Amino acid sequence: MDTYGFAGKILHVDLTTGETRAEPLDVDVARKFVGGRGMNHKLAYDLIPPDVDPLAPENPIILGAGPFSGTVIPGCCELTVTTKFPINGAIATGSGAGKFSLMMKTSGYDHLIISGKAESAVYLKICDDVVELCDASDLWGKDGNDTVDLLRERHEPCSIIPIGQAGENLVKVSVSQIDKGGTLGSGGLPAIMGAKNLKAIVAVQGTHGIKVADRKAFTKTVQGLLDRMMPWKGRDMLLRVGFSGEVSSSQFATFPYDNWSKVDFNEFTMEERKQILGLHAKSNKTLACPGCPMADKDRIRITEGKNAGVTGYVTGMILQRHGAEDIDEAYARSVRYSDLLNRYGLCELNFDFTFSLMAHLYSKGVITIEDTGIELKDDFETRLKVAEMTAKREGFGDILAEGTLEAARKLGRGIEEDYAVHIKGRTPHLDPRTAGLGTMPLTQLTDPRGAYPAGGGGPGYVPGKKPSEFARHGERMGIPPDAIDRIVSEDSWNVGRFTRYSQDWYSLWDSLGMCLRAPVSRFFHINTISELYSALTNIETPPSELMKAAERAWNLHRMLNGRVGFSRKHDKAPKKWFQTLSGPDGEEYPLKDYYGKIELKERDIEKALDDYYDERGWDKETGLPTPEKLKELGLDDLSLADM
Amino acid sequence: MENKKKGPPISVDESNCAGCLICQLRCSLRFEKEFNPSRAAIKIRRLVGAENEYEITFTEKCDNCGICARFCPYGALVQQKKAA
Repeated sequence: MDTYGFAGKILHVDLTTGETRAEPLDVDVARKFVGGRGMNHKLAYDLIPPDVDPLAPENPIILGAGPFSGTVIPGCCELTVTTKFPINGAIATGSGAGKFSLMMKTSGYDHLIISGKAESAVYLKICDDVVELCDASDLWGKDGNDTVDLLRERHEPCSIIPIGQAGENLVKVSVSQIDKGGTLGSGGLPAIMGAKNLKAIVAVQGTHGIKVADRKAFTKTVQGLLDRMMPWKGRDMLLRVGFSGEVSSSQFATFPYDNWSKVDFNEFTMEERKQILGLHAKSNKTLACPGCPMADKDRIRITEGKNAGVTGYVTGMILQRHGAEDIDEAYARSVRYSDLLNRYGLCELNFDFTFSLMAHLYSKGVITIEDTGIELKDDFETRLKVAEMTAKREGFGDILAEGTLEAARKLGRGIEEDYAVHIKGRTPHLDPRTAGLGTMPLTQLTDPRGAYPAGGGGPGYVPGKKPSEFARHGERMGIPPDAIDRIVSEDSWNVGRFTRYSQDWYSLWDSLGMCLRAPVSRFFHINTISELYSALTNIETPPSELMKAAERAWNLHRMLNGRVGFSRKHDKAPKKWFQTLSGPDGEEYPLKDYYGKIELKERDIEKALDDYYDERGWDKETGLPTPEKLKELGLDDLSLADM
Repeated sequence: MENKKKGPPISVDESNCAGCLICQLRCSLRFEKEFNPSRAAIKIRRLVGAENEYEITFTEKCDNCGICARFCPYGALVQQKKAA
């Protein structure tokens, strides 16, 4: 039977017994959840025990490729991973770009489920029906990039998910890098792999093809996209500077420092930012994911000046001055730091902000050298040293390896209550005191995964967009017209209600296997996605049905975590958000609404959450889907009682 | 046996290749009716020991139809002009 768009099989691998088993994908069930991420959630519901220890052999790693993965739809390169994450115990899904989803499908698999624990270090290799556990004793101890290089020598063409030292040492502030460039599973996927003695997962190019039901309609719609994407004026710049260049050039992306207490928008002047872009353009070779004309992965090699020879693979590098006196040095240090973390498999955000918390506590005398064993200055050399200690769980690094929340709990002294900045144990991205309360902060409060920004993309990512832009974007992502009228007015828009649809849009993209970065996603309308899905899979699927499936997948994600014990009380803003952020010249940045007009208090956040749950059809007390909502979504066989 | 050529040769500039595999996906869709890099008439091989450098070759099956060049977004493949 043809399984248009889907590869057609699910592969189970038990590392304890070495047994492998392929089963047919039930395409009707997959379509109920779109595929990919949504189907991962269905598999997680069946396979992940709610009370399982994330590092136990019984916690499976569920990988998913969406129906668009491995085609020529621009941006169709996402792989999703669902598991119970050690950083906070949430059953959650991360996604990462690269070749893995394509390679997995060329072996005939939409999903790969890895459970158990190998007796000694192995890597898993898949090529068509040949599934092997290979000895990895010579790879154990190596960093992620070196592991990829060695495995490429053996198995090209292939795609690789490796772990570095952080994974081997069960570090929770860890993340994998698909093919050195696609972050996957922040919050400890590498630790789960390390606990399974699994050094890497290698998908070798197989011989299976992905079939398209209506090639003519499919290629016509793709061509329509390319006709708009290729001449886009932002493309040349993107190809020169990649994603890191984009981030580095944005003042808006400035992060607070000293544990979220200070911010300096002029850390780099506009002139210095231009210099950085120039350096980046000269040093960067941009790499593309499969099927993507908007390449934005960075492989950096500095070729001039005193830092010639510094190299690194970086993805969305956080640019910091790192105490450097000149821009060349600041850039080189940022590359070195980012590359080092990637090699260890440390998560740039969760590690760096846990470090920042500890350095802040040290400067205040809340912790001392008695705790840390080293002088904990907030400087470049200390960062490098502590990164190594964390990746290897040496000395004080053993505490940092736990992440902000657990480290705070271990240290006690009121640190969790008074200093730790986290949402469900994860470090937030961006600070609403500098950006205003848009969809990005609100999705981080309500995402079952914990702080994670992707569900809040769209106009709300950037401050100051007009309400009409939200209405236009809402129409593009399939919000029903009556809901747009209700949510967007002439001079404002409702952040809680809009966030619900923003998340469903993200749920759809991740489930299709699509990259939601703006240079790609800006060209897509829900009608375009509906045309592509229908032509690819041979079943007419209107926009409303796709959005319903995406909503179903998000609700199932919430229910999965309801049975773990998460509820509204965990959708909690960090206390720090309600304290004023200080600029270097005495400027003050209290938490304000999206347009920066009204100062917000905790009750205002609660009101935004009420709106969000109401728009979702969830119980405002528990923050979980009501029986009526589950029935509407065809999920009425789920209830917390039987979960 | 080598296929009869439909068009002029494809020029290759490997230094421009970003590794997107669009050429292989397009080629296999056209000739094999599915996305399947292993059955494409263009081969992209990562050079061992080099960082993201590729060798690009064509199998005997290639008939210079030019679809790979038409869809290469990075200027690594260009079909030469037909002789006047």
